[in-house]
Amino acid sequence: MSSPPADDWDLLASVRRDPTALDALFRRHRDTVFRFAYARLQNEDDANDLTQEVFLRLGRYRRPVFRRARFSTWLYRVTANLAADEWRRRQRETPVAGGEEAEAPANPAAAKDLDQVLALLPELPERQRETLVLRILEGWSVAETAAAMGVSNGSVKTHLHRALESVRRQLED
Amino acid sequence: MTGNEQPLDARLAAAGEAWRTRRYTGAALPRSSVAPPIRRWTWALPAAGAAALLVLVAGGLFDRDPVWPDSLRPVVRGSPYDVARPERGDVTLTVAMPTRPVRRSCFADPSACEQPTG
Repeated sequence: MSSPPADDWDLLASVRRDPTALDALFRRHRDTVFRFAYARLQNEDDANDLTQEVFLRLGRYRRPVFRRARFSTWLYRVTANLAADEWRRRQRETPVAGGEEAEAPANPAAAKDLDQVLALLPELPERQRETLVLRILEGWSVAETAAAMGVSNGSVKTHLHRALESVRRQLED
Repeated sequence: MTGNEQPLDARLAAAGEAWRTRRYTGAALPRSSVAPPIRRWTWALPAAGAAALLVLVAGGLFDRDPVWPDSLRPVVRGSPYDVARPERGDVTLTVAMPTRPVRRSCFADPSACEQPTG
């Protein structure tokens, strides 16, 4: 009988002694981190690069691990901070067109709506954008979204309400 | 009507499902991403230096044949310049005089300087 999978925080605490711990974290969370990065950077290559950077940083993580939150909410914060830095850096440089999704979508109508939502994201204020990504696209609960953003549940609902008004206008156009 | 007639909630739920199918398409993590060797050994060099310094200091403290300044150099016991060991409480050092003068010729002819036997 196989042992239960190690807790994410335990894996993070052991990345410096156990090379397989970082691989395990990478396999578990790379897609989520990629989507967090993509939502901010809107470019697949940049999102892939940023995903690598996030996990390389986890590999060098030295601080004591505190289990104050769900691992994924903490990881969202790490990714959001790095993505914001990358976004600011890109604003100073000439943007380079990156590779986009080549795969045919299973649900074309949903893919079209998603493209419209993604196109709207850069125009939204930061809080509304984060709320939309975490609550609507990632399907997190209000409490998880609030924890990741470091705000109250009520604040999440307010930001979400405003973001959805923008989405409604975007989708109705 | 050409648009999507579903309610917004349903459309967003479907968009969310489409979103969650997106996958990381980059490379695997490089093997060196965990505990880079240069970082793993950075502590070793200062530690080795500190250990070497400690050995030098300890060696100097417990050296049984230290380098004395000439004014304090103890003479070899039994030599013509032997310093008599002072008695307890005696503050005067008594210097034993040479039994006979050391002549320069001793260097040229050591047999001339031999102690008389018997």
